[in-house]
Amino acid sequence: MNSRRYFIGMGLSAASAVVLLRGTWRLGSRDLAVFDPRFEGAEDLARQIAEGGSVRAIGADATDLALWLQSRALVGEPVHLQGVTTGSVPFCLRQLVPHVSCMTRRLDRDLFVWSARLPAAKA
Amino acid sequence: MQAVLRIANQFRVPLWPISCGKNHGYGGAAPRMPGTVVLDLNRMNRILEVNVESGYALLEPGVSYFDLYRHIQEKGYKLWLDVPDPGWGSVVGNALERGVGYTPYGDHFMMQCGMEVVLPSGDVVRTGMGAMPGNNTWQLFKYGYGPYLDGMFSQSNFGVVTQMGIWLMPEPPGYRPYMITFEREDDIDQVVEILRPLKVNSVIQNAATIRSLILTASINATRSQYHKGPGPLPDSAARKIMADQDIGMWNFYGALYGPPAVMDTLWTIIRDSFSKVRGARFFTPEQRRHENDVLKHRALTMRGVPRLTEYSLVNWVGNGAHIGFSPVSPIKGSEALKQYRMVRDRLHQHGFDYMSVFAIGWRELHHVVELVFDQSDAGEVKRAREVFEVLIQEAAQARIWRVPHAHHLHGSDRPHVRLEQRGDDEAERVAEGRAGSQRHPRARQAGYLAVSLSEGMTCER
Repeated sequence: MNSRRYFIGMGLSAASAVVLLRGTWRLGSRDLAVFDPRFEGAEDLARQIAEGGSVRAIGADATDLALWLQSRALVGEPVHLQGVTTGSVPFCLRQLVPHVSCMTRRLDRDLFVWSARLPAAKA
Repeated sequence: MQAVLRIANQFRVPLWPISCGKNHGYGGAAPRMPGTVVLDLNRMNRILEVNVESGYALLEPGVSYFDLYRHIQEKGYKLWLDVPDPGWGSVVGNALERGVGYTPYGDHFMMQCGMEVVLPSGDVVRTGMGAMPGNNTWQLFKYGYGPYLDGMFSQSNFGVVTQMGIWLMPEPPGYRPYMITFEREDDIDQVVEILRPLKVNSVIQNAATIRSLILTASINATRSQYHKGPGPLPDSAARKIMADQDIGMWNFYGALYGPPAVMDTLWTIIRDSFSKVRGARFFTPEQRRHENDVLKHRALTMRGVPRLTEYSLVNWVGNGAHIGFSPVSPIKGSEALKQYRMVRDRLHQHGFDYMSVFAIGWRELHHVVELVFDQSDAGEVKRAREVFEVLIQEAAQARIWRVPHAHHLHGSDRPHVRLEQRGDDEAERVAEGRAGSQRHPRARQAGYLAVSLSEGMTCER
């Protein structure tokens, strides 16, 4: 997993990434899918992943998204976020909200597709 | 806490205290020595007091900059924080690591006042005026009477700080952030020479910064958007970035604080001074054309709003990790130019781009170099470690002091620490390996005996 050749060899196309994510997370409510508008195809992939759910452009700055996720964690609300962004976004989510479960797949040099799930607080 | 430390001492269990564990630039949450127990103070997160009249807060270590900012906003206090980049770390932790921010209160340890410390023996110490029961100046008078102890608990392992006072800046009557761009690499010499008297005479009021082209660009762009080949970014790509983002080879970010008449006067001096640099251009946030322009982000940071924006720099190479290398020098143009050329050349020779910020302190210049590399590329990781060693050796030979700046690799291994000899076994029980508290033969070779450092590559591996 050390070079661009690896990813090309894996044939990890955008479509494969969507299948991969579906296979890993059970389909359920989707709160939000975000994408980085600087990258061609990111929005389309985000809409595929969202399957009709909310989609929003966020760029590379994860501040507002991370703080929003943190606010959800504080009140124990379940959240399912997905994204087609650069790697710093899921990293920042994991750092600021330790209880979030995050799965990430690299699409190319810059772009990652990821899914972050915050469970409901136990009663 | 007292009980924990007594037990750890009794059974010789090494501890690694962390507050929020997110001041990654100064070490982060990962202990250095196998067998160490992490002492997580994250849940000690009370804001014990905010005094608006005197401008201070008394905090426990688990209070993050986001927490304190949110509290002040909710209460409507007319106080500003001073925040580092990114702003998710602990206020106490960052100050104890002698971290910096970007307002006039940017020297965080200077703004610290009074602390409560649990020693490895389990005893509790309150420093400064806090040593006297019932005293009402614990967070007002830094020094108290007799020897000044607070510094011993910064970047050290002599105890666990459980409360700390920090001064907060009253909201000023006016605030004007600005940016000045400079076109040529060698301009750094003249820029720093102009900067020194302005800083020493407090015309530059805040902890201003001079950011390199690529560091500035990385907030909004990735390397592959301009150059897909190996090796350092070509000049043609650099010029395209300058045109696309309307930035210079060097980009100075500062701010004015105070009544309008004061800001007007200071701005006249600043503008006249830097206009001597051929091609210098001056901007306010309103004059920047891109929505996510870096000046708009810096404008928030320079007024104490915590953000995570700066972390975008790791996206420069994709799946990026970073190591910080931060030599310190006098505020002299010749020093800045010499360091820039040395670091740039070594990074380029190893295939990396030069990304840095010169952070201006009260009397010193910090050359914060961010070595960003793809952490999933074993070759790149190896080269990053190699060039980091080269930089350390060259800085040591040039007698350039290095500021503790130990980034970690997104949770994986991170650069390690040099040391001083210590004979106190008790002290070494806490945070073994932190900030130069572990024996290392290479310290002698590099002449680091007199300095505690917290960066460098581990040699045990």
